[in-house]
Amino acid sequence: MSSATVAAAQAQGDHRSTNLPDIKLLMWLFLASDCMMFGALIATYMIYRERSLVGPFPVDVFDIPLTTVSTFVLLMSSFLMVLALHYLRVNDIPKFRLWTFGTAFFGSIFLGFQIYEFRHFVDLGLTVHQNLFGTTFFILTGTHGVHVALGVLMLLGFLISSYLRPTTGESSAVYLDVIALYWHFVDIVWIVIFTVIYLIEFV
Amino acid sequence: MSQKKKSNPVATYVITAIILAIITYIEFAIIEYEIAWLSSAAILFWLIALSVVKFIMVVAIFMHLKDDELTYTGFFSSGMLLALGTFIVLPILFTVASIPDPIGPEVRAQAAEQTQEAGNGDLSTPPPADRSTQIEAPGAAPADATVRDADSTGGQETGEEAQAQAGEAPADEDAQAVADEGEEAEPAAAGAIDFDREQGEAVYAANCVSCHQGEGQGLPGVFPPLAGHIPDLINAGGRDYVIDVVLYGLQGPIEVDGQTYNGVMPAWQQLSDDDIAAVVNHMATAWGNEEQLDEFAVVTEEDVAQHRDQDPGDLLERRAALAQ
Ligand code: HEC
Repeated sequence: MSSATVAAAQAQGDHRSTNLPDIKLLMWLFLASDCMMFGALIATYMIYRERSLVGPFPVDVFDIPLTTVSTFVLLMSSFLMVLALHYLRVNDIPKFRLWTFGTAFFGSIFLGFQIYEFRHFVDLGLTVHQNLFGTTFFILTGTHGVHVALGVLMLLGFLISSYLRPTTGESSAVYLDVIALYWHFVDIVWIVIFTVIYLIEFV
Repeated sequence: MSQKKKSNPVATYVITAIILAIITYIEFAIIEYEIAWLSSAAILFWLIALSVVKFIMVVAIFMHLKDDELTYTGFFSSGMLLALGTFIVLPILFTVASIPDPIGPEVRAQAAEQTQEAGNGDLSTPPPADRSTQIEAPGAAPADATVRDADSTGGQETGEEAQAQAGEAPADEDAQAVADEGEEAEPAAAGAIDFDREQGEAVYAANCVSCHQGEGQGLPGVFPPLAGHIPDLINAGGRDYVIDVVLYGLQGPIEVDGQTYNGVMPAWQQLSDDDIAAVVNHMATAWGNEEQLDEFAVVTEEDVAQHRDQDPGDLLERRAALAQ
């Protein structure tokens, strides 16, 4: 935020003592609260783990190679995200656009995997109301999927707006930074889910 | 912020991404190729350690907390700590064996409070005092039934009364009052079905009310009623079935009073034999069920221990056989 706008805001009685961009502060606060939400959802999954009375059970439906690939895709989207932010900061707009699009694209591939996985599970007889595993699994990964979808929308929105109004340098980068934080957060949640929900089942 | 960065952040990013990819592959390989020389505890340790490394790398480098304001780190780590706390404590709370001696003024006060709270909702519940009157005299069944009818019409009033009481009286006195009533009720009931009614009620209040509700009335279409229904099962020869349902849980379509239920009844293996016996006896006798029983052999701790060792078979099938 330029000093002029800060001065104007202060003139209107907007006191700030942190000197940090509001929107970024807000995003970190949101992420902290989102942590707690996913913490509760994962804990719920763990409580009901191995409590299902009828199948399909996790080992019957999980496909580790497939999920590894989708995990990899999401990790790489995080990598493209940092590139996009970097190139916006150094004002290399074409590269910024390319990698922003790339991030959203990889995110969509991840969603595609998830939709495929959900449909496959339903074919195998695992639905939300089939057993406790189905309920807790779909709620948890579904919530995560919605987060990814929202992230894709935000990225595409930012990309489109970069064509409509001047988007350069640090003042715009703050906004992309905030979206990037969200995106990486969704990525780390998946890192936890991949280990705690999928891999541990096969130990 | 970009000025603070090293001359070429892209190189850092590329290296980070490569390391992340390699770790993901290692995780995959550990599981997929079933490494024999690693014990499962070791595998678990490495999987968790690797994902923690990934987590920290993304947060520190991609989310650049490493060289950003400390305030952000503070926010995020407090959220993370709370989440971690939830993650650790919640499962522990659910696996702790039930409280060894659930009877005591506090527990009873709690149970009474819970019942009153439930009474505030749509499923209005008479206060606990009603229950002891119901249990009181199995000998005088017909008279009792009329009393119960009168109670159910006046239920709302008495409920309010009890709440007003609870509001005025400190919790200790409240508990004392409930305990006194319990003592009055006991000698009268001792003649017929003899078990620790307070324990049964406490186990029910601690584990079952949330679904089957305070007066065993259930929730139509979601949680089957136990009041007025358990005697049907027992009279059809389902005493063993009821014990097994509590021990092993139940899932699948069942029908009660023309309503279909298709939910999940959890298994209660973590309760002690004693507690399970008490709660089964409680279901058989509470809420006016006792008068509807043809005959009933009190479930003992030993009965439950025996059922714990047996294969229950297909409970849905056994239930279907009872319903005929
Ligand atoms: C999470 C909610 C929940 C809790 C807690 C719960 N139940 Fe159930 N219970 C159910 C559901 C749902 C069913 C029906 C299952 C079905 O549809 O197959 C059921 C069925 C039963 C049945 C069998 C009824 C029949 O007609 O076959 C008994 C007996 C029973 N519960 C007793 C208990 C007792 C005793 C406790 C406490 C120790 C308890 N329940 C706690 C949800 C619950």
